[in-house]
Amino acid sequence: MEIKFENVSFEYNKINYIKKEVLNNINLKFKKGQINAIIGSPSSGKTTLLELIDALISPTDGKIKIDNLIINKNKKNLNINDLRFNIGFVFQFPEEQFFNTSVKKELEVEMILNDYKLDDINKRVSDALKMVNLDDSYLNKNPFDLSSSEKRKLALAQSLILNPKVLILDEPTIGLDYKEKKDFVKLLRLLKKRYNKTIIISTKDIDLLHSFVDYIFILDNKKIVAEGTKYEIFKDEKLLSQYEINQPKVIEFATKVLNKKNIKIGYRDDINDLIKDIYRYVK
Amino acid sequence: MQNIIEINNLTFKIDNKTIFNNINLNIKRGDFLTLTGSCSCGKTTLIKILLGLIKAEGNIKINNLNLNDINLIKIRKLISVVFENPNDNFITDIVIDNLIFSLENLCLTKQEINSRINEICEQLKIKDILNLSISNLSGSQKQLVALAMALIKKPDVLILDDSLTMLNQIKKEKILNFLKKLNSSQKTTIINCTKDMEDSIYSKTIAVINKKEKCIIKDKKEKLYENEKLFKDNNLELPFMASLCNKLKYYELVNDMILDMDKMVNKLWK
Repeated sequence: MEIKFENVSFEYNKINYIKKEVLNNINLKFKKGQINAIIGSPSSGKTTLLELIDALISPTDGKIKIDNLIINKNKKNLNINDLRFNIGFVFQFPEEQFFNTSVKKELEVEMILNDYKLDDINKRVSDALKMVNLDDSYLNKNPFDLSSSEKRKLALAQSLILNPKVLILDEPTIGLDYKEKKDFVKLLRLLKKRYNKTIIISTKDIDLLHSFVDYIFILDNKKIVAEGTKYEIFKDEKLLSQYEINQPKVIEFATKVLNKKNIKIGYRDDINDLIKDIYRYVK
Repeated sequence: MQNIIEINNLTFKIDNKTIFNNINLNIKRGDFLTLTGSCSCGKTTLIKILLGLIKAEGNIKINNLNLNDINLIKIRKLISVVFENPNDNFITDIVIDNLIFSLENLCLTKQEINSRINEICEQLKIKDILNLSISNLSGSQKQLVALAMALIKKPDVLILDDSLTMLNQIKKEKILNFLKKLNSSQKTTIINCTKDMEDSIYSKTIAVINKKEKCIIKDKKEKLYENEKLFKDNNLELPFMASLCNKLKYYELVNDMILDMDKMVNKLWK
């Protein structure tokens, strides 16, 4: 699916009728079948931008085109069901998307409402759990009793269960440990390669992001201020520091250590290669 | 130095599943401790036990007071906690009301309340969101307000339960630097529970909850970083600089643990 923002603006109606503009005249096109990332300083409007795609909120101006679906101010002629079937959404706080008393109910509710066959439902439920490294023993647990990382995995399973073409992830790696982060990256690569899904992710974990992302948008002060492939964005130290984003640690160290002696060996993002280079020059 | 928290022979089970088996942990007054471990290893549970929210077998002393129902009020006055999900910290809708609520319960004068609010706004740079509604804040702003609510009480012990996760690296480093200063100037004991080991560079000691043996391993950070296996077994990633140091040591390019990037660069080209 192709997702395109055309002159999109959004403002929140605050209490006391003070309006606060969050997005101003945004034009962008997400890369189809790739992993897109939105980064930017905190409270720059990343979550708002993601919520717009799922029509959880509607733009105050402009429109969002998702293939032939159009989201505009009054959501006129928009088939919400059609949209939600094609978009999987994982919220910043996974608790916000749970409302059932067991994991099984939580996963199958949307399929029951849409008259799926029972065999199909059971298969999809166990497939989705397997995909996120949870097993069938979780089926009868209460989602609210799970630990925070298990909640996150469940939310991810829930968003994958209808096999959507687009996956939107809002800060998906908070609360995961190192191994789970690696598993998560593996899953994202699989979804991209085998299922050809378009993935849109917003995150602050730059060091992790750098290992799997394809295309990056920087959001700052209501506007998209820069976009490009990860090489273009991450090597540009000035651009990143201007918008209060840290460089991946490996690249930061590579630049510092190589610039000191004016050594030019190109882009280094693997620590082991870098150390071998340093060893060669020092000895 | 005197221990502010003493945990002896603590055992805790949920549904016959052992979470802690006879663990011991002593935390010195004025320590800056990073408490870490893999997912679902019981970090949050341990904090809840310290606050008396969950009862467990064993002996716990906080500031030489036994943890029981009678001492609970005194103990809770000593400790401020910032929970994992910032929404769990808030009492009312407006930011400033939340801050005032923490202080009114301590029976402070209006003047004192005002001065403390001004001070915390200066420190955490949250002046411009004071009059907003909580529901209109972003995740990182919520976490800053939750931290402000805990700090404004000037507690003896500050416990952060994975509560800086939504700040980006640059903001987080600023906050951690501020906490480090607070720790050395006010002697506030800080316990930072986190899985992001980059945070541990700012602390003095690290305690790892070892999930397999269900015990706690605590040591100075420089010493613990050398034990790569411990971190690997517990699904933790070493901070970038520590793992870099370990690798450079292997190539015999450096001898000791250097955790500052600029110092490392200078050392390498010497």
